[in-house]
Amino acid sequence: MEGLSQEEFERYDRQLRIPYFGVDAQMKLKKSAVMVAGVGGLGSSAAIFLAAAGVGKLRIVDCGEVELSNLNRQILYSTEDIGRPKVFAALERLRAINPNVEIEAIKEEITEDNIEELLNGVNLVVDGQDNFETRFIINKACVRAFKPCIHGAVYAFEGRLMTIIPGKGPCLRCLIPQDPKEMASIPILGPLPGIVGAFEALEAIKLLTGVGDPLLGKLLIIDGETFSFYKIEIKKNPSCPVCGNVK
Amino acid sequence: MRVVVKAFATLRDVFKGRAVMELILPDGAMVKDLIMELESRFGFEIKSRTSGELDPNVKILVNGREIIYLDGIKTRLKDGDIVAFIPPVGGG
Repeated sequence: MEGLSQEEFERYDRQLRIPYFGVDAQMKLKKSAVMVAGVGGLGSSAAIFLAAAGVGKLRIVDCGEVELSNLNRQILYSTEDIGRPKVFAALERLRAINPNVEIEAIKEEITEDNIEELLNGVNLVVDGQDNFETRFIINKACVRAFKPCIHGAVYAFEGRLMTIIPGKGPCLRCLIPQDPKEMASIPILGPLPGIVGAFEALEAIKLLTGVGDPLLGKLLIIDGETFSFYKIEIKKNPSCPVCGNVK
Repeated sequence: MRVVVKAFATLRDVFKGRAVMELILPDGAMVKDLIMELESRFGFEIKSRTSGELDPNVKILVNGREIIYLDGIKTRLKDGDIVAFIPPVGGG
């Protein structure tokens, strides 16, 4: 792969000015591939920042169509997108943001059967899910494939973030040992998935470039109601059925 | 003694949206006494649906330290302690 074009130098000018980021980090991003697993509230925000930052390839996976009740938070979509498959509307929007990024739109539900193939060729996964079941499928597959997954979740005024690096820290199953009750139509204030998705993009950029310290073994809780941030230590469970035997 | 309870996510809903609640407990009370108080007064639900035991998904912290690294639900509380209840969240 060649270096950066003149257009790319200008497009990424502000981040290239960060002394410990620079062209090396930008080239690492350009050579990277990220899967955004779900392009809802979290995935919208994460995908926009990853595309804008110049990640080489984004694989966006979602089986849903845009609904009116998505639009308070899913900032990839407009009112005129209602009824369209999310991944196709997202592809157009992301391409418009940064045509240098290769976008692969996959309209599929993530299952035990296809997750291995979906992970093929990506460096890491950004969790943009809205339920626990699919998150656990992704977690298990990422641990098996030794690929990092950046976990994000929201509820009402609250956000959660944890970076999972198999073999280096706890996985989602260490954090949530039992299957919680699934909720339909979870209450969410729009800025929260926006914030958490942006943080997920930030973590992805850090992991891909090797700049900074990832949120490993720590759960970040963002309390938007009181504007409090908490970092809670999460230990790897030695008897975790998913990652217990991964060294 | 006074104990400050911080509830997160779904557990905050039973506090009618209040992030923080101050409770008065008898001296020498343990975390399990606080839980019983919260269950009876506010309908706090932090028992596992399957086992009836304390839900392992709910992190309980006393002054920022998770009680599994202290004395579990037998952790003794003292005046001014801050106890946080953190259930998992799954929205996106």
